Amino acid sequence: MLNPRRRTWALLGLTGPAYLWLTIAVFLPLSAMLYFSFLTVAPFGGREAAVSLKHYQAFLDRDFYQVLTWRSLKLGLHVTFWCIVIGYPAALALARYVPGRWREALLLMVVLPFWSNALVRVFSWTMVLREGGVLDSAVRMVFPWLEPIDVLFTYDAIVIGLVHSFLPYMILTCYVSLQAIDGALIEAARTLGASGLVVFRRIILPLSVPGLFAGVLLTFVPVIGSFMEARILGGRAGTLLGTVIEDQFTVVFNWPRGAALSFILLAIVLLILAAAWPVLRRHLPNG
Amino acid sequence: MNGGAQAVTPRARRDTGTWLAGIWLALILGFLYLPIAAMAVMAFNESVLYELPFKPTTIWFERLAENERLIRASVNSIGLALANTVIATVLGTMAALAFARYTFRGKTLLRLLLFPPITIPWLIIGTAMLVMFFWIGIGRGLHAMLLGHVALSLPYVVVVVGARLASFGPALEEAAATLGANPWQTFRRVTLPVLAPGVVAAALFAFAVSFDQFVISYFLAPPGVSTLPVEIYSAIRKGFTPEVNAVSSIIIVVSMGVVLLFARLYRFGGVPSEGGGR
Amino acid sequence: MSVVEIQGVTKRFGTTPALDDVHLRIEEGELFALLGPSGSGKTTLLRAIAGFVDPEAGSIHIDGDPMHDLPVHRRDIGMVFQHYALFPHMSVFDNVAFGLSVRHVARAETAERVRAMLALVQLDGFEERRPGQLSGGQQQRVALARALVTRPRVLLLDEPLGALDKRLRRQMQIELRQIQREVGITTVFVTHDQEEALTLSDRIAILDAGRIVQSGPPQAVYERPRTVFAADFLGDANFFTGRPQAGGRMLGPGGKELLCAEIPGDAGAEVTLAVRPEKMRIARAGEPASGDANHLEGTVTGVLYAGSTVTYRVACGEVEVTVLEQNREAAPIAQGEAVTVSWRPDHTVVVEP
Repeated sequence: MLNPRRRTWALLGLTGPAYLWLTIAVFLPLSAMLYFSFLTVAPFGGREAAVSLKHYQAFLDRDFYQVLTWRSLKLGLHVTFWCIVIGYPAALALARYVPGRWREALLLMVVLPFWSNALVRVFSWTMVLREGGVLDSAVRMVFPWLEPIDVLFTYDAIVIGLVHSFLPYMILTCYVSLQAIDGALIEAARTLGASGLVVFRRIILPLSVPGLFAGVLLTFVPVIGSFMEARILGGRAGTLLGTVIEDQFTVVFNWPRGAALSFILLAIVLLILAAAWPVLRRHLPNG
Repeated sequence: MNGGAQAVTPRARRDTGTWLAGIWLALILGFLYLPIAAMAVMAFNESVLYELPFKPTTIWFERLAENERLIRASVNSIGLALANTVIATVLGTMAALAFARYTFRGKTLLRLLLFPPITIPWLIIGTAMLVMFFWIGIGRGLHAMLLGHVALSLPYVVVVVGARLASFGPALEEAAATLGANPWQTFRRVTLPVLAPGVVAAALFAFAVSFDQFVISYFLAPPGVSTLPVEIYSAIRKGFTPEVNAVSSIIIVVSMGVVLLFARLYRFGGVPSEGGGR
Repeated sequence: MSVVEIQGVTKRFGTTPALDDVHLRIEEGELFALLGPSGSGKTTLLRAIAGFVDPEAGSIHIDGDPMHDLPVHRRDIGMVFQHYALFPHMSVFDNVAFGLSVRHVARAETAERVRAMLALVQLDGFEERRPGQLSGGQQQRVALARALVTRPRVLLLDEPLGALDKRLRRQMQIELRQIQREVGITTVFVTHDQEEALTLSDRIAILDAGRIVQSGPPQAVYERPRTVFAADFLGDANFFTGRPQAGGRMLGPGGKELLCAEIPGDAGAEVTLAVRPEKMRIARAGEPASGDANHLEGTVTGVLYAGSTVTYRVACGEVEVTVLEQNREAAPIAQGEAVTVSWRPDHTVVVEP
């Protein structure tokens, strides 16, 4: 239809602006940060910066960073675990057991919080978890003799807040792949002699793995890079790799150290994505 | 119905399943909404320390009206989100059109490049932007935040509009061409109207991404300039007050209201139902 | 080999009855077709036998065992679905082996039975393929193999050939019939394709609005339809309505007398006669007619040329009849020509309205 030259211009004109923008705002900054992570100090205010590996070395030398990295990963595993345990049955319930007219409304209810501000939702948990909060009052109304319950500023509080944040993702991705399963497959398995449990294990579960997988990625990756949730709900217990990185940029102003730690975090994320790639590739949107 | 004899039929078991499903979902909705409700209720409680018994008041909302920092932050947030919506929707829709209607070398690579902005934790992207913008002199401020927000919104727009484009294929455009429409007329009078629901959905997405965005804004906010989430965060860190509850409640109600309205208009997912089934 | 007995089965969806007091007995080794337009209840009946639909009243027995308390997976049936419902995440082998593996059949025996079954449907060597890599016809065979490998008591087919193109359909019909004979399994099969029902089945039931209108061997149902609906749905028919006269006569269009031995002698209410188009003969006016006792004069209003056959629409007074002729003439009769249409009294059937 179009001649080759006009085609090229059309393509450039259509994709150029978006990708130029992405380059300036995402790809160049990531490169700049990679460069910074190899500097001794940030080259501002007339300071002399030299190339060195000292910030990566610091990660290896100090147990502190490794312990925190491990904590962040563990937090990611905990949150992902609870999201699966709570979210998958919910997605299954929505996709297979809730009658049609209720389904859409319930799904909307589930994902609605995800459209509202994440920070605000994390903050709202302080109302529930603190001493004298909703949880404490409710429990002590029933069991007045119990000690006051103050979950706020604990590891558990961070897990609860993060599960609350990411549960809608998990439910949504699982729901999408569960409701795409052709009902005739399940009927076919039943006529072949499979009980409900066998149908779940051999048909429903394997066919919903892509959704489960997407949910795991969408939960685990952001959680290991989280810091705001830990600050608000974790208090002193909330020191993570993410909060340490934040400190390097906003409190300590050791940007090269922060950059190196960020890249270690990024490397972990990339490793996870690379491991997930074979499954991901098969389910990229629009092939 | 001759029910009695068939009490243990598959139907009875299905009913049990539906009941269990209902209970489970109710518990989850409770989990999701309980804290939000508690926060909203406390916004109407007189005690600064959230103490009970509950004494109703609207004083915290009145305080908001006098809080100039919050008002300025709100104006910033809304302006930023609007600018972001326009830019990201236009640029993203253009890219989506290129992906949907042309085959070219490097398309897969370009598609893949959409993933980093949404898969890399915001903490990393936000600090990277801070480093870069500071280094080359763009500096911090609303303009820097706009740069960042658009970059994060673009991938969503491309995916949402792309899904809509994929749903109708080039046949409509080819039909328009055979009827004598030039490419621009085809786009104006055929592609765009059919694409509209997808574009509206993408725009809403872009608005929400920007309006909710905390991490990027946090790193790119110079002293004295902030957005609503950044302002709320610093308020929380200074110690909670019911005023934070009040402004948070307003944000929640407004954003949920917009989504509900949108869901009513467009059905779920932004694509009006076109029958068919599988 | 089993017998399926359906007694008084009734099922309503909302207020519309999907099945209304259905009685049916399907004999051992028989291939039984449920034929009807969409919404007639044929699929609901099949699904009731499978156990996906709980009847509100009535009973279903297989070999004398009551089914109503038995969940689907314990009924020991095989079913082929409209779009085959092959498990996309399993190989052909695993699909076919599924029924055996849920029954905990030993591995060696499973392998042997799956291979034998794949050989039966001529798919040896396809074990490791995925369903997505197969053509429609191949998928159909896998579905059939999967349904048969457990040696079920009854095989249920839900429009099994509906998704195939016409040529493949013909071929699969023949194969299906062969395999069914070879295995000797009692088979119930739903179709809306009357030709398929006629060529494939030992017996047919025609359903309309949840009721069985007529059932019997294909030839009997075709040659002796009992109602207007049955005559019209299974093949084409010309209908004549009029007052019966004494001696097996009826006053037809234009006051012409039509002969049919079945016409009741008492001159009571109006009767309807049905005549298949291919039973009628057509001749140009003035040329010698066939000599059959029933004949009408008319004018050709339409000619549909289909190669081996020619279909004529002929206006005979106020009624229009359809005549199907073998294409034997040098030139088909043209539109507008005056003709005589004739047929034998024993090709005329009295049908209920």
